[in-house]
Amino acid sequence: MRSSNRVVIAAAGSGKTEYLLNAAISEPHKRVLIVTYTNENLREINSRLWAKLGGPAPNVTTMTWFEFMLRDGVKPYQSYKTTIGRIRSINFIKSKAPRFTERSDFERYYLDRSDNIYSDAVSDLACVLNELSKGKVIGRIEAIYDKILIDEFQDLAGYDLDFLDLLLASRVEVVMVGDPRQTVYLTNRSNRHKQFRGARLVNWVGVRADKGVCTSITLSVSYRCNQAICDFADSIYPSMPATASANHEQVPHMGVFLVNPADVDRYRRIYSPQELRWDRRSPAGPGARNFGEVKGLSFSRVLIYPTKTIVDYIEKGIPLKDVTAAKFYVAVTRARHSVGIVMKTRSTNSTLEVWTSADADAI
Amino acid sequence: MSSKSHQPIVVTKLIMKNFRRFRDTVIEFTSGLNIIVGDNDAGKSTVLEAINLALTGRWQGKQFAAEFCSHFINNEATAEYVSGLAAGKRPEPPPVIVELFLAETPATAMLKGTNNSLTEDVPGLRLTATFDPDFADEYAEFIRQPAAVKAVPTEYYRIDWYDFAYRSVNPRALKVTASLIDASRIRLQSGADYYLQRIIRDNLDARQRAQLARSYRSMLERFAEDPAIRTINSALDASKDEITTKELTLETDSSQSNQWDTVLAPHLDRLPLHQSGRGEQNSLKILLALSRKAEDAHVILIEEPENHLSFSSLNQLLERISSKCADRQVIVSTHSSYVLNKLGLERLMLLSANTVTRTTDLPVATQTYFRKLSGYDTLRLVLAKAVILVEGPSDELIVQRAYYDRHGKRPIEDGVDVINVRGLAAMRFLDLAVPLQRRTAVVADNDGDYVKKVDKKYASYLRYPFISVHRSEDNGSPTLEPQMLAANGLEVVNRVLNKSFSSKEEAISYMTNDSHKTDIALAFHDTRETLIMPRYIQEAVDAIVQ
Repeated sequence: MRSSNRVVIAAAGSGKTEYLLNAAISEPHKRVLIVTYTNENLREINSRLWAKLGGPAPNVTTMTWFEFMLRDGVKPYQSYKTTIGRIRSINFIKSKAPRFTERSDFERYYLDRSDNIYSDAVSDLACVLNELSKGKVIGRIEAIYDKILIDEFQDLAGYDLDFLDLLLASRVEVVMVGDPRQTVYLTNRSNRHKQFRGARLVNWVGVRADKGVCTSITLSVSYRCNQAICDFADSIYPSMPATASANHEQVPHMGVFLVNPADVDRYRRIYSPQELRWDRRSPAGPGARNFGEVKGLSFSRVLIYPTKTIVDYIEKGIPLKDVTAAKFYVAVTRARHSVGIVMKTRSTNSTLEVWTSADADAI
Repeated sequence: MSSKSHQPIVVTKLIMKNFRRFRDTVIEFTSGLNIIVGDNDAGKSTVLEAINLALTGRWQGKQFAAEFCSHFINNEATAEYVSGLAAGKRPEPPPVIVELFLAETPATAMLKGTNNSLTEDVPGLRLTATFDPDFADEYAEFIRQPAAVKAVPTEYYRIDWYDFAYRSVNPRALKVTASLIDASRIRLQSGADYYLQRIIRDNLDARQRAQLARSYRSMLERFAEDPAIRTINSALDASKDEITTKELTLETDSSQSNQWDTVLAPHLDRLPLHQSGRGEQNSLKILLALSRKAEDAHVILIEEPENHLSFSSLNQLLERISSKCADRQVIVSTHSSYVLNKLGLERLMLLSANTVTRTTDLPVATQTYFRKLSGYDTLRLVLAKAVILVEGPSDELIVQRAYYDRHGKRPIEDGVDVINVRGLAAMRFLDLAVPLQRRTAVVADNDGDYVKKVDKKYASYLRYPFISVHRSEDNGSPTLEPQMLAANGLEVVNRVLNKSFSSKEEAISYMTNDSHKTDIALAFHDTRETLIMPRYIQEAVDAIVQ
């Protein structure tokens, strides 16, 4: 029998959250859990869910991935590793936990001195407890949820992927949606499954689809970006399927342009673009936002302040590394109509059109 | 009606540690009806309250966190802690644990996990009171003078309430509920009774509740429009500035608008329920609780239903309980042999000291015996402080007299019950006395061979310190009558019986004739003569008061 699990790889603006919400409410008799990594996205899911139904969804529970791991992964069967009721919360660590021991040293590897579990070890411990209890962790999850929907699954890493494998093999129907091109955050920096970081997570999905534990679906129609923007964004990830645009709106100044720093003021006045920057060090104008903070948002026009490596990519075609590629892809795909990239245009070998004031004078 | 064979079970097990009378106790429950019997201070109501506590976080209707004090901690645990401190040790303040194990259903699956003291993988709730490390400094100060410590410092405790998945309990979202009905603590006043309100609310569906709230609000609004109110308001307006410079009016308090349940009070035959008898209030509560929808994960806890009820209403109530418990779990505590007989003895849970015995745990032959026996006799053993088992009505009378002679009062005044059992039945009672740890003395005839007829028969019970067996070693006097004769002599016996037997043989042949036995026993019981009791009877009435 074909598995009912689905992994949906969705291009930016292709309506993946909508897809997820429909999956949540299409079968009201089923108990559904929606999880996602960031609090911000969780709030977005909650408010869209409310708006869709005009009230709370009685069959749907939502929580962050870490809440899920702590509440349903670790706490119920912590007795297989420690005393009952000991683990309190999660110690969120930036990169690696301050530990110098092996996984076998349970006390110091997993827990801090206040009995909080290090964030990079939560899904790890959930897997360990499931094994020690001979499947009780998953068994309990099977008893309380019929369907688990994971939004932005590309944010999951390390042992999260092992836990996903357990879920895919369970009786629970699993639907994961996300875009490996937009991997701008990760739940942890574990070295485990490092080979699947960023866009290479597609390979992880491919192996599972081949084994038949899930069906891989691609949403490659963008309702947000016009075709020129889609094409430019696709070029950042040449190995991924091409994106078609369903945005056929005709407005002046459509597509991707290079904007000379000297013309920025004028460009701003004419198009009022949302300015996007790598971080605060960039010379962007007031109201600018960081690439990493605009995932999920839409703007009519954006003006991007590229980093040195992005300039190199545009000028010389030097491929971007994981995080830079992801952030740049996110920045580009925010725009409906136009993307401006602030660059000294004289030196560029890029085929991108250079914006001149004359273009605007024509309007 | 739900299907016939479906016997719902909600609560499977209760564990209490250091909680009131219970040092470390596991009580298991079955589906349908559970009857808890025990002494007044055996903790029957603690069991019911503990179940309710684990499900509601409330103790006798109030938040447990606010009620918790050193009285909740087991005496033994307190003594150990206090004496440990006095001895210069640093004992941990005893933790209090109440765990409720629940049956697994879709509604309870969320509560499942191994965070319980048995690390069983089941749904359940765990309420603990433990020392709060945030008070480490205060505690260090507190034990500076260990000799002054007389109780556990519960002011430094914290209350935690988790499910077995170790998630904090949200009492309003809990899908398992209990109705605790306790006749002795009825707080039923006009619309202010917590349980009754809940029962009424639970019997209405969401739409009916919303409808009630809406009509209540519109009634309040109409009231506000009443000419009388307007008159008052214009009067108030006229006296403005005398009271305040601001505008002062009377309005209905709309913040109370969904409090319809505080103005609705149940009436029986048009009489407000709080003005009817306590027994009637009590039985109405029980009936309301029983009438809830059967598919609810709902356990009904009834404390001593016999309280305040007339015989005939008790009878009706018990009939309702026994017919209803087919499709729900009911836990009843009782002190009444009548309730027991009516509800059946198969499912008895005998609560004593730190143990709970189910009649179903007893040897099969013993179970069968008690099933045939009237509930009254079973209950006598269960409820008495101590029991003397004798072998016939004559023995019963003589033992009563012996007890009176020795202690200056009747045995029953000391809670000692003299029960007449024949032959093997004594052993059935002992089977029941063992788990109850009930002080029991057996007074037996030696039937001409005390080793074979008595000692060997009871040998296996003598390892229990609370059981003693008494018989005469004089095989020449096989039963009570010859023993009385041997102890008191022919002359005294002649005076007591108002006879003039010329020889002991003549007296014995008269006394052991079955048709005379009872009269003779009565004569001994009532006589003003000073009697000398046979030594084994003397020992029995001495042993029983220890």
